[in-house]
Amino acid sequence: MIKYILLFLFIPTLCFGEVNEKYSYKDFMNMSFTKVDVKEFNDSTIVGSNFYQENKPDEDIFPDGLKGVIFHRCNLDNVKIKDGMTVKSSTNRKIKVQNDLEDWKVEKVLGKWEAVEPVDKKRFIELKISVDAKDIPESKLTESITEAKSEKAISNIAK
Amino acid sequence: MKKLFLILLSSLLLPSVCFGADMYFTTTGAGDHSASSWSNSGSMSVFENDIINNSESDDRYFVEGSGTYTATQNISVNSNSVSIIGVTSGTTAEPPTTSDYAYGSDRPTLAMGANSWTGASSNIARNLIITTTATAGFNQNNSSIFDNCKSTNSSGTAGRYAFYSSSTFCKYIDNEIISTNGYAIRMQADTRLVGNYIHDSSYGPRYNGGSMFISNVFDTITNRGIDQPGSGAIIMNNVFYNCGTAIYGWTSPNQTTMNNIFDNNTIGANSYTNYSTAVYDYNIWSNNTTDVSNITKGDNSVTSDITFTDAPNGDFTLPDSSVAEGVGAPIGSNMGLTGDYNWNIGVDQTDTQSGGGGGSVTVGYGFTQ
Repeated sequence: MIKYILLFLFIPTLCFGEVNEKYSYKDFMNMSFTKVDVKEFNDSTIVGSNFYQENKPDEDIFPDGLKGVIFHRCNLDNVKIKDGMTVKSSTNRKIKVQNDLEDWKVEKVLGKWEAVEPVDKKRFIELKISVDAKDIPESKLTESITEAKSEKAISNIAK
Repeated sequence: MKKLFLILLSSLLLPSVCFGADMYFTTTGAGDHSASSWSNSGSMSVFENDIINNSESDDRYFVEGSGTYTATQNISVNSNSVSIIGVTSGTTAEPPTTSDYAYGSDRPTLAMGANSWTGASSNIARNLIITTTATAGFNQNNSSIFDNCKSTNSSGTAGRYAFYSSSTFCKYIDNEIISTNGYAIRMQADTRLVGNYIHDSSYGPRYNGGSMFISNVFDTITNRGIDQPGSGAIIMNNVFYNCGTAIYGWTSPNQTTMNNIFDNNTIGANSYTNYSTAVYDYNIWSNNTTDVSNITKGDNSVTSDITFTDAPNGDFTLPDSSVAEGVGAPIGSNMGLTGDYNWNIGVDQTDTQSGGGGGSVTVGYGFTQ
């Protein structure tokens, strides 16, 4: 019985490693750590932090030589996942602004980032805007397409 | 008989079904993570799941301060009349009261990244720090309240919002608002802005027919402090400092702009049309490259060089013997109620009787009277 209890107690550390207090539950949006000593990350678990890199799909933000680093429930959108990183219950979407001035999920096709669907797909649908990447304007708009659509009535009054 | 018993039983249970729940959240979660108490607090994943799928009217989400709560998906609040309230770190009160509210850096941070927040009607966001790059920033629907929050939209894409009202009658009270390359707030008609600090943004609030702007500070808004005030706007007791054009564009015959200080702006205020019935008066125009364009300042305006105590560092108080002292609209003799009456403004009054004495009231808005 005791060995089962001990096993139960050790399971979390076996699965996740020690929680990295310095980098857990923090907002590191658009920050880079490539010049930070890799020892600050190795063999630890980073929980609940935001590492989102705006408009830079596959951005390399961590130092080389990572080993045994687990990211649990983090926002790793646009972050390059390298050797030594294990990602659990986190997001790692690739996101880029398109000509409609909205964020779209993208994927690499023949070396080029191609739009797949809007990040806020629900809002597009509510505003009756196409979620088909083929309908993204060929030239850059001066105002985001969701904003232009939602403010149309008011701007008409203003003019 | 069995049927009657069931009806009685369900009527007894009904109140607990109808009333909203109080839920408790910490960064790590605790106990069974059910969010039923601080000792069984939910983590961010529980928060997301509940507010998106299960929130009900009058639910209150108490979020412990200091920590960061990272969103991993778009959040669309399931119900109207839901409150998200940041409380001071380490509080054990269940439910917390106003004395447990979090302020300053003790407020919990909601790190949204590119994820959107879409609130429902009559939602309340209180005592939160929000970071976002989403197009609509932190978005709530009609009659919602934004109180004691700091929202920053740091997106590199122009035109995005820190706060967003998708419908009318929203209230913004005592918030700090920044949109580096976009608009601080997307307002709709009949919005109220009271006591906010809006700064270091490309634009301040946008489109506001019938809205009120009372006692706000607009500091370093590179383009337009208030963009298109709209029909019937009331703009009183604000400070506009270091803006491109402090008040820009679409005004109306029934706009009231009084007791404001316009200092160090490229243009203090302009208008598409100079309406003779619009009230622009009792304002101070100081150190602007151009004070007004297509606007008449008013007989009681003051054009003089004033200097705030330390505006570049956020201190907008006036030094002793400022020319701004005593030149505001004298509330009590020239506005509304006159004659032998007492009345109360706020709660900090010594004379609570009405109808006698003929006392006067001096209120320190925007600048002193």
